[in-house]
Amino acid sequence: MMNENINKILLSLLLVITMTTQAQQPVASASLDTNSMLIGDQIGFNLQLQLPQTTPFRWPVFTDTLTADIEIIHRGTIDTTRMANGMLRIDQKLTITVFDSGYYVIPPVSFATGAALDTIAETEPFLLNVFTVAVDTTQAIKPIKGPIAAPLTFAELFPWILLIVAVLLIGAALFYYYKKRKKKQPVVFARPKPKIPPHRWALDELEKLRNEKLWQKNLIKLYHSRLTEIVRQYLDDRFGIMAPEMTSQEIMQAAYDINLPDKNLRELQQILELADLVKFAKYTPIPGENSQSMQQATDFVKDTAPASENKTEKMNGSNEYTKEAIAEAAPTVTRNESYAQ
Amino acid sequence: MIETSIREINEKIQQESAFIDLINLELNKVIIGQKHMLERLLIGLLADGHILLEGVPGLAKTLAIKSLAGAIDAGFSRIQFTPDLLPADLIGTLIYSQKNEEFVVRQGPIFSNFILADEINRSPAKVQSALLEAMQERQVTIGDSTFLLPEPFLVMATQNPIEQEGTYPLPEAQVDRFMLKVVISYPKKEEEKMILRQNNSLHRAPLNKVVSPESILRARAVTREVYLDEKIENYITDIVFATRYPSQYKLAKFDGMINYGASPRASINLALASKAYAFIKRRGYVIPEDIRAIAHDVLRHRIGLTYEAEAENITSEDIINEILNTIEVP
Repeated sequence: MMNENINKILLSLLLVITMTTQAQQPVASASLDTNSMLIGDQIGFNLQLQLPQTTPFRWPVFTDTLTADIEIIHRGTIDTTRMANGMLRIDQKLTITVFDSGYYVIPPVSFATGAALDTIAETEPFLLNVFTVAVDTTQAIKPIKGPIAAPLTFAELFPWILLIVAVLLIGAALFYYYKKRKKKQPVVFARPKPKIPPHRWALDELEKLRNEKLWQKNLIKLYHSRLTEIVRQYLDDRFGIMAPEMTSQEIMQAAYDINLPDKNLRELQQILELADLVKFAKYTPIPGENSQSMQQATDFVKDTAPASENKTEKMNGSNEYTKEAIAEAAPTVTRNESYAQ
Repeated sequence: MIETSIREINEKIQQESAFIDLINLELNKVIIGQKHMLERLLIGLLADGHILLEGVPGLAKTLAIKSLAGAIDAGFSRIQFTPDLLPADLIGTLIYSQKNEEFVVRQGPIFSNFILADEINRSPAKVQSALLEAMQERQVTIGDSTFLLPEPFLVMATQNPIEQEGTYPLPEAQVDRFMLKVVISYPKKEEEKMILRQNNSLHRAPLNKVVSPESILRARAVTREVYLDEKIENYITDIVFATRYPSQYKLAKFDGMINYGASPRASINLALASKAYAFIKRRGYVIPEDIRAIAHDVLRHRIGLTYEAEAENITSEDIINEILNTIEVP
């Protein structure tokens, strides 16, 4: 009976001694945030070493990879905690990633401990599963998704806010300056330059040409060129016929199309035909023909001037329009069918 | 009072232009409509300028040229251009004579007054070059000997606009040798009906030779005398320069549309063709109407368009129209 009690006591002592010895040994451990991750994702690899505070140790140095395929993105600081039972706990968190799918082994991490650093404490190896995104081959291929815009920070916005404020201030200053300056200037209402009616312009130009006496100075070609230029410009301004860019034949056709009276069509045709002969066929008209062209041009302009203008000018006595001419210029004209031939 | 020289020219024109009516009568026996094309053929004949006719197959291009040559008492050769045609088939070659034991010259079909180069774009460039050299130089060299071509010498070529297998488009430098490029369109409905009747009829009026080559040469000499005023010369140069520098003529919208403008040959041909047109109208002087009438036919093949213009569907016809509508007429 006594022997049994002695055995129990010895066994208990042995257990206590064994546990105490075990507690004094360096213990290395590691853990993963998860052992299954999406390709390219980042997970934490947590390392821990516990050992008596007086025991020397050497923490491993990590480069940018854990193995050939497992990359270390970030190395956390080594954190040391003194525990109540006289032990020391050292922690470090490594952020790791893998860029290919498959199963990867995270090898044990070794810590050298002891006075001669000859005692090795190792963590357990881990198996890491890296999976990829499932591809649905039944769907059409889509373009690469663009970069996701990061939310704007105040630091980024600040220079722009400053710029807008500056522009607004400058604008306000300019506006204020302009208003102040405008107030100082006397208000002057400029009378808009009255637009000369086409017939007025043409009659003035014809009068100028008549006074230049070109054909009397034997400048017959120049005289007829100028004369037709005035008539063409008048047709352009008065009826919108692009006569300066038209040939005589085209001008006559256009004049016929706007239903000008027969008399005016005949006048226009004679002016243009005579001018063409002078300009292109070395024709020398007799003096009567030169003055007749001028008279025909003047009559043509007067006859085809707007009816209201005619009336007004007649009442003012500023023109020598006849009643007949006004009547002829009125829109109740008949088409000269023979001209179309 | 018209100056004596113009009066004289007018009288000469009256004398020498009688054959125009005769030719027109003969041509109208076989060609219905196509007045524009027939008039252009006469312009080429009078202005001594070669003509390129372009149109879809079946528009009487070949028939018109054949008939024109048939109405003139002069030599005529028709050359069908094919991909296997050789320059020697055109201009001739040296052949060894066993009898005389020497090389003798065998002249090709180009030695004739009127040449119909049918479907000219079906032969490769070396054959086109041989023809176009003859057109320009009016002479042909075979071996060591140079032979002058007979007068009048006129090449009337046809080509189809449709892109087809085995065609060789004429390069710009060669197409420039043609005085006129006439584009032929389909006949009117009434004309088509007449064509139908004429071709179903058993009786066909034979073509008579109504004009001698000498008459043509005399008419050409008178055509050269037709008076062209300096104002018309300025108008011609303005038109041609507007194809080269459009922005200087209020046509800035065509900047970047024109790859190359009309050459000085275009100015020369505009003047010559307008004189011939005035001659046909029995007038001893050129007026702006004459220039406008032939401007499209003289210029359309001489304006090179850029890719931008083609992308915008702008054609050389559009450019010519705009130029004519913008430049002031003297």
